[in-house]
Amino acid sequence: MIKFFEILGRFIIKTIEEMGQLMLLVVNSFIWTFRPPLRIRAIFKQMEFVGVKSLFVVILTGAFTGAVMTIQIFYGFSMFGAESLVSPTLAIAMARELGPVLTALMVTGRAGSAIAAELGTMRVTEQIDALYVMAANPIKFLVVPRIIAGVFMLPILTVVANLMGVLGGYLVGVILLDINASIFIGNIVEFLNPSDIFNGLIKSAVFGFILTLIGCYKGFYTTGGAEGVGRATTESVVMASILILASDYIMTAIMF
Amino acid sequence: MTESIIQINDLHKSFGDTPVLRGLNLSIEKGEITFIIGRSGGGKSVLIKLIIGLLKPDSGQILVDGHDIVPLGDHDLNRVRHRFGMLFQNAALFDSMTIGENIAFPLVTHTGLKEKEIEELVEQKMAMVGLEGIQDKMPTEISGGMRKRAGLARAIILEPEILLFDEPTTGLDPIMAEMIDDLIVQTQERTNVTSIVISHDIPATLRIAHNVAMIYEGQIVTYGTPAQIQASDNHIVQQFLTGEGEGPMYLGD
Repeated sequence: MIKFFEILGRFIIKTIEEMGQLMLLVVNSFIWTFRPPLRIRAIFKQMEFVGVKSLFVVILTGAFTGAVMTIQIFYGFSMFGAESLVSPTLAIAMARELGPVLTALMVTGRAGSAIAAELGTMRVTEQIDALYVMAANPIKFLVVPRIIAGVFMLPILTVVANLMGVLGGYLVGVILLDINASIFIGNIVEFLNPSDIFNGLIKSAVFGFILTLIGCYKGFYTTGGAEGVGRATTESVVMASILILASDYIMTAIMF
Repeated sequence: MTESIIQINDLHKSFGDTPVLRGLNLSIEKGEITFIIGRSGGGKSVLIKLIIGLLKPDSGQILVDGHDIVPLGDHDLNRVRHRFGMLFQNAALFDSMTIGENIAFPLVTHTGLKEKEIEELVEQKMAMVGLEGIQDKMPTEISGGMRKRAGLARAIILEPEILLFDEPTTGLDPIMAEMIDDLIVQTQERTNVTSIVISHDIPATLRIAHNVAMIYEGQIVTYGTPAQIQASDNHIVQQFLTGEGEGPMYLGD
């Protein structure tokens, strides 16, 4: 029994410590974002890494999600003759939920993990210490550009995912399932609100913040050599994914 | 009579329940090469990290030119750090930059020099450490010895007053190790920099050190010139110098 409380206590202490560390990183990143000079080149480099290089995987994710959703929605709606509402349902689902969330999860797997691995390696090979020694703040040099890149690139990627989702849906719906093309497009235009898209993009910016922050956080505080880098990478993906899904629920409850 | 540039008073540092430094006192003489020797895990690297402010001690003072750096915040600490250069154990070059960019990094970050001037300084320092024509190589494309030399070039590019070396020759072949040792001496002679070297390498220590301090059980057990160290009648020191398994030194777990 005492052993149980010991383990529980240790877990709680560790969790609180971790939360504190994470909050400190958030506060420091915020402060360093507004301290000149802004490192434009580093930011663009990270934008390329987080954004441009995730484009392919986001295109595939969006297209296949749109295609499969169309089949599923069509299956349900055709039962009561509502085929014309397949496309707006798909578009709203993509814009509000599937676009932002799936994009964020894919980018977490691709870029969030890579950020954790890179910073973790820099930590265990003393490159982060070297930055401190050379009086160059690692948060400014490493963390801030990545977080900025995440916040700006995720909405752009989400727009791509949304468009690809509709395109995938169009191919399946119009060509395979014989929905009238002008009805397909026309009903999207009629029923999809700009606020659906806009709120989805706000979510995706938050997700971009979460996935880069957690990647940086897990990498930055890596200990224990190569094994530690592996652990940090895995933990960053798990933690970022959970936070993305949880924050999605909270934001959805507030927004819609 | 030499003057001390760094004065360490009663320094304590523990990690969890494990005390690493237990009331360490040491003074580093200006313009000389001081070797800190001792067993692996004995607190040598911790000491050097405390001196440069990467770690904070539990208690004690670290005076640099008479000013205690322990209570300093980031901003003031960074000013002190400009006076230091450090060569890390594995050089700690930035993987994402070329050798040239690595060596130029402190200049780019802290000076307003033009690209042309930076290039010249980088070339000059690279020549000084015997590295030429590899500016555009990545750190992973060159040997361990070359990385160390590039790390040294980066450490001295801002002409620091104090250079810290964390096991500069560990993992190098004997010839490369001797070259690095010679570079430490040359750098000191040319720029009159104060050097603090952490090492296990006893022959090198006796050959190039001006002063030697030995850490044991979190304290300095002996300090003196190489000749004085060799003549020491401290059994622990003698055991360490000869590298014997039998002796008074606690070899532990």
